[in-house]
Amino acid sequence: MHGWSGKILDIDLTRGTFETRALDMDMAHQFLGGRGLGARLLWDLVGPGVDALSPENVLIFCTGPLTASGMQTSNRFSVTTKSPLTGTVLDANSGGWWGMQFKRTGYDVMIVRGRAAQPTYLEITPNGLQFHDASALWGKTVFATTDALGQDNNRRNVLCIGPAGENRVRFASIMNDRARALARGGPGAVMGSKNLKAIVVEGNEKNTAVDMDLYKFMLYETGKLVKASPLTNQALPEFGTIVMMNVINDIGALPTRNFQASQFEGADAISGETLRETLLVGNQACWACPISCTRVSRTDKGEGEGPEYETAWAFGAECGIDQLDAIVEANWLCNDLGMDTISAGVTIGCAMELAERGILDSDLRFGRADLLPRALRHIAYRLDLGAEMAEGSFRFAASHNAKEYSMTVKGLELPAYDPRGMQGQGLLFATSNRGACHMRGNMLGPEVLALPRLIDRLTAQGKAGIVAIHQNSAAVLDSLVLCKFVNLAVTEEYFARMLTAVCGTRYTADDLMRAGERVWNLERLYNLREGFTEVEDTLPRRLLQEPVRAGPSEGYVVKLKPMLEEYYEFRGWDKHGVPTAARLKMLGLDTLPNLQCREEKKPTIARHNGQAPVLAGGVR
Amino acid sequence: MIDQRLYEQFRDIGRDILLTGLTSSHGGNMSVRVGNHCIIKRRGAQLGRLKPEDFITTSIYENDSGVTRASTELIVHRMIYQKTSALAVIHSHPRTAIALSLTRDEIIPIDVEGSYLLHKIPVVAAEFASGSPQMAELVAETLREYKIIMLRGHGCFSVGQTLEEAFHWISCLEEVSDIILETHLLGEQHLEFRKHSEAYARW
Amino acid sequence: MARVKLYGNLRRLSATPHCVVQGATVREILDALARDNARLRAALFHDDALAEHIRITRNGRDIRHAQNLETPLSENDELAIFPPVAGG
Repeated sequence: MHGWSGKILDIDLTRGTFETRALDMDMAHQFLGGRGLGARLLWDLVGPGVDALSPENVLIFCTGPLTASGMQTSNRFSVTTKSPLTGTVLDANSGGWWGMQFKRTGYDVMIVRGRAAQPTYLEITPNGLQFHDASALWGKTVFATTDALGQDNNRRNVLCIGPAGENRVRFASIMNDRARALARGGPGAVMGSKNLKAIVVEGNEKNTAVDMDLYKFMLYETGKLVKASPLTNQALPEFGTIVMMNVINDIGALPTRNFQASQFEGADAISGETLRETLLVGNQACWACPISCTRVSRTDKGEGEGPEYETAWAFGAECGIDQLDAIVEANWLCNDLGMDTISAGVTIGCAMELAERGILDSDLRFGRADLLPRALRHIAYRLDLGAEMAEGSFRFAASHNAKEYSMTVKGLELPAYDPRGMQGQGLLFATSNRGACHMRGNMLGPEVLALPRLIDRLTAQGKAGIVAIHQNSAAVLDSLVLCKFVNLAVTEEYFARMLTAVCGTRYTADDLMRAGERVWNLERLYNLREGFTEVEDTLPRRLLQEPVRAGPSEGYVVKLKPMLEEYYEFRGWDKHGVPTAARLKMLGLDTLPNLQCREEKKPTIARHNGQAPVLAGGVR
Repeated sequence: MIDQRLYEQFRDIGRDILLTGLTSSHGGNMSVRVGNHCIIKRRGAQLGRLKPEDFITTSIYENDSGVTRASTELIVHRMIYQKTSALAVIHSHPRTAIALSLTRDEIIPIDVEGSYLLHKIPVVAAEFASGSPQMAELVAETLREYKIIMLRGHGCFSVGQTLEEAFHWISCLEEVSDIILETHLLGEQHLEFRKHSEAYARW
Repeated sequence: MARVKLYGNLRRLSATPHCVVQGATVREILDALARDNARLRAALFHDDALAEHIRITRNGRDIRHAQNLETPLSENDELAIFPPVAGG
């Protein structure tokens, strides 16, 4: 195959059947793969009113045209579904080897529909697809399941859920290759609701370039760039992402104790520098990646992957914990149970604040590292307070009439940046289509690291264009599917030429950015159809109204409203954040099924699957 | 009157362009995109001596600045903003690059920095090489794929996220061009040392 | 005078990665730090200019927003110096 095999594996768990369908190649060219293609397929398959944990929801595993091609970081893949945590369109992507191997089975996409009558796992090999009884595996943790199914990195790869997914924890993850994660938004709960325990893949096909000369030239050029950048060649391999802890603390944007403060006195104790001096024993790379950013750490309880910056923050500063070994072990436990570390940490942090304020009857307190393992297990198995926390911090806090202590946007917990100290990041969190997310256009580069150039993190003016362009760019990477870290050294012009070489169709850097914008707008339409409006493009009240009390960002709140107005205008949306017919036409989205687009009129969304039309702008 | 910090960027880069010989006194122009408008140097202003009042603001979709012939190449800048995701555009007249554009269809760097940054600079030709819709269309289309291009016999157009980035490409292009010219003038055998060098033409 | 903190791999280049250094501007502080430390000098400077990707903050604010190396310092200022780093 060259880029796309053109084949979709469509699986019906209810009936225990599957078929191979053709991938619409126009759709593939427009949306590329990964996140983009997933969103486009979800638009057709799952409409408003569908319960994310019902058999009517689907899981769409997508590779991209560059997956398994051999380009640097061409191992990644994504899953798209409707999120049980947020109700928005959700995609999550992951590295390791599974995506590469799935592509080698000769499919671009796998759609999983329905619900199996009993615990099931799927196995795809050169002999075909088999349904297996997973009763003996149900209840096993992620690591045990992965080992039991014969994980062998380059040859046979296991993707599975742990107890959290089985128990439909709303932020349960899907794990692959042991400790890689399709983490955010609860795809694990969807998989658990389908009684699907695991998918094992073994393949033997290859994704080769149509133009091998151009491919080899581009591979050489991109390899040079990755080697030449100190970020990809030295900083990430040596320290991993956890090196961000001191960087973000230094500028006063490290959310501490559930975003009550933005500097943590224990930051250095849980930093990348300290990890390197104490618990780090090595690093690790995913398939075809020269960067090798994964950490391998050792405590007296064992050895394992991680922690990333986000995880170290979520179980660290967010919970007021400064014990690195406890954090490292919490990460392993969370991976083994199969949950998103960010949402887990922020939900626990929320519970800690509620308990300290006397709103919640619990012994949870900030700094209680010893209570982390119990909290994580109780969430995964829905025991005691864990049963409430398993619903995610928003529903949890709301059930105690304390919504304002849930640090979420659209129900997704905020990651490790206090936007009061990074205004552009605030706009990003408020407008990301899957809820508060830093991976959909991280403003860390421009606002902190001066990549490509430093902008003032404390001003709110003039951020809209840069945020929108970063969001489009992230959508491109998520659709090709490549790692954001290769983007630190390699730009769109290279991706475009690499794609041209592999699939034989000419792409320019601008075509890619246009595709990114297309994906962004489609996701926006999906959410509007679900009933989301400009009202949900917001931030927790604390960040809008409580000024930072101390540190370099003292006195700041997020000045969201003017940024949002500028943003809607830049995106070519109306004042209520609804894409205009003109913009949709420019992106080729005016011909989406079930969408009526008349010039000079707001787009309307027709009945979908028999459900009443839902339109943004406050009309339900 | 434009934002002071933005004016300083225009002023400093305009001065650098003049002083490094990348344009004549009144030639060239620069613009940035702000939302769906662009701010461009007005016709007749000297690139190397810009004052705060030397700028025009207009929609990228049409010239609504109220100034006819606001800038000679306004139509090109507007078309570039419509068709690409550029946030800054610079047009200047680097003389060696112009000389090379008269004798070839693409300028391919032979030096390390140039091949690393630019790989290849295409040369496009238009009959009315100044401010016509056809030329604007041609230039904008080509800039969807390349950061900097040559308009045969006229000058370069370069794009970037910032003015500084667009300036960087022009400065690099002229260095690339000077090296090609001087190597040629030396008249000695060219010792190619770069791996895959023949592939640069395919960029 | 400033309290200086070195981060990332710069820490290993100095026996005192957290120290108090005399100087009226950022440049003076860096010169003092690098005076008897050739490896630190090589990491911080490229010719006479600050090496690309080195980030310096004064009390949490990037010196690029002030006067770069000529940024004046007050008593009890904290200078943080970072090598090239990235994350997510």
